[in-house]
Formats: sequence, C-alpha cells, structure tokens
Amino acid sequence: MIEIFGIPSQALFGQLLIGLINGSFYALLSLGLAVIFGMLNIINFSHGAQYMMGAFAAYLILQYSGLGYWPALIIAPILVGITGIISRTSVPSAAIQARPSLWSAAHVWSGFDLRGRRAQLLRIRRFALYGARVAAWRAESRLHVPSELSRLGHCGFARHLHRDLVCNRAHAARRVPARRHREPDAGARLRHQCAAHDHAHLRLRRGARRICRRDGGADLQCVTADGFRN
Amino acid sequence: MCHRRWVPELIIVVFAVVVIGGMGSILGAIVTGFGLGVIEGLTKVFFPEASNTVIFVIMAIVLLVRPAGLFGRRA
Repeated sequence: MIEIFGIPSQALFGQLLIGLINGSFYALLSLGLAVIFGMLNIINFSHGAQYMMGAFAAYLILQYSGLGYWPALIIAPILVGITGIISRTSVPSAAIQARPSLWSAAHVWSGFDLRGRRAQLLRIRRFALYGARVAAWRAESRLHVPSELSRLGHCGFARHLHRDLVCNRAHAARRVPARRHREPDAGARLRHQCAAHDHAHLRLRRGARRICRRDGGADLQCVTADGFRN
Repeated sequence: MCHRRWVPELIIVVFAVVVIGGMGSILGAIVTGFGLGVIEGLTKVFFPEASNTVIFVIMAIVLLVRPAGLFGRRA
C-alpha cells in the first residue's frame, strides 16, 4: 500500500473527501451569513433555523406521507418557502402592535421589501439602532416610518401580501422612492464647495473633475467640506 | 453526522468561516469554507487532537494579520 508522509493513502484520501464534504457544508451555511451581513450589516443566524426546518420537513414527508425520497426533496423546500412567506407577512401584523421594535426583527428575519432597497436598509439600520425608541427616532429623522408602522400594524395577511407583491413591485418599477427616502444629511454631504467661488456644486462621482461654469468653463478644482479634492 | 451536538458546533464553525473569509464576502465564504474543511480533514489524519481547534487557531492568526478577513474590505 502506498504511504504518504507515513499515512496510508486510502486513509488520507478518505479524510480528504470527508474534509471536502464538511467544507461544502461550511461554504453553504456561511454563504447565508455572508449574504445577509453583506446586505444588512447585521449578523443573522435565522437561516440556520430555516435549514433545520427543511430537514425536519423532509423527514416528516418521508416518514408519514408515504412519498419517496425525490418527491420529498422537491416538496420540502416548497413547504419551507411557504413558511418563510407566512412568517414574513404575519409576524409584523401580529406582533408590532404589542412591541414596535419587532418590526426590525421581522424584516431582518425574513428579508426586506422590494420598494426602495436603500431606503429600506436605512430604516432597518435605524430600527436596529433605536429599537423601541420610535418616538426619539421620529424626532431625529424625517423618514415616514411611524406611519408605515401603524399601517403595518393594522393590515391583515392578504393586504400585506398585496402590498408586497403588487404595490411595492409597481413602486420599484417606477424607481421613485430611493431619492425621496434619502436622509436629510445625505444631500448635504453630496454637495461640495468650490474653493475659487465659494459656492456649492453637486458632486458627480468620486474622482470626477468638475468644471466651474462661473469662470467661463475653466477647469477648476473644487474642494469638499472635508477637504476631498476631485 | 446527525450527532446531537453537531448543529451548535456547526454554527460556531460557520461563523468562524465567515469571519476568516471576510464579513459579507461571498467569495470569501465559499473559498474559506472549502479550505477549512480540507484543513480540518488533514488535521484529523496527522494530529487528530487538534482537529476541533485548528479552525479557531486559523481564525486567530488571520484576524491578527488581516482584521477584515481574507477577502473582506476595510470599512
């Protein structure tokens, strides 16, 4: 038998195969964490619960329904998907009235709306920061989340589903809301000051050269408030 | 595979994988997941006692050298 570093090759390659199998598990599960953290900047372990529910659903189908392995493999993800939709739509309407801070938890738990993703991210971050202190948050920000909060709190399953699937999709197609929901300070940060003429320009993009039209189109360097040159 | 303690250990290891690969990095999660799986398997062959801790040792070393992870971006 061939030995590699004093280890039988069969044992070595067997452990390598097991390592690859474990590695694929690690990669699959860490993908969920990485995607959620990349989008929301929040560490969320709930996909582990969904993973567990998929395995449990497959086990139940195999054990009690009399269906075979392959039908169970198809039906189990569908069942878990339906569970996710129900949790996404029912948790806000049922629990927010009792505790408004659950709004963020529900959204982080089950994804976020189609409408204005940037605005949605801002809301989720705000709620993650402030939690139940909605009143303080309302005084500080001009986003209309409290009204949405009450709307979410009163709408039922069908209305909420309609809002998600129809209204928000149409809203996203028009590409309106991202600019409307931008933070008040964001507009100020986008402006920068022309050093030569002491007036504000809208910054095009980082690194772009700006032509100051007050000087007959001469190419001047403009400086942001924090010293950024472009 | 279906050991009762397997799932909590798996979640902890998966979090370590994400940290090593870089928080939020999809490529980092995939590459680091496969890499650490293979390293864990090889450690089981050559030094079985360290197979459970090797991932966390690697995580400590990576965080010392690159605090944002292997594929992560600095904030």
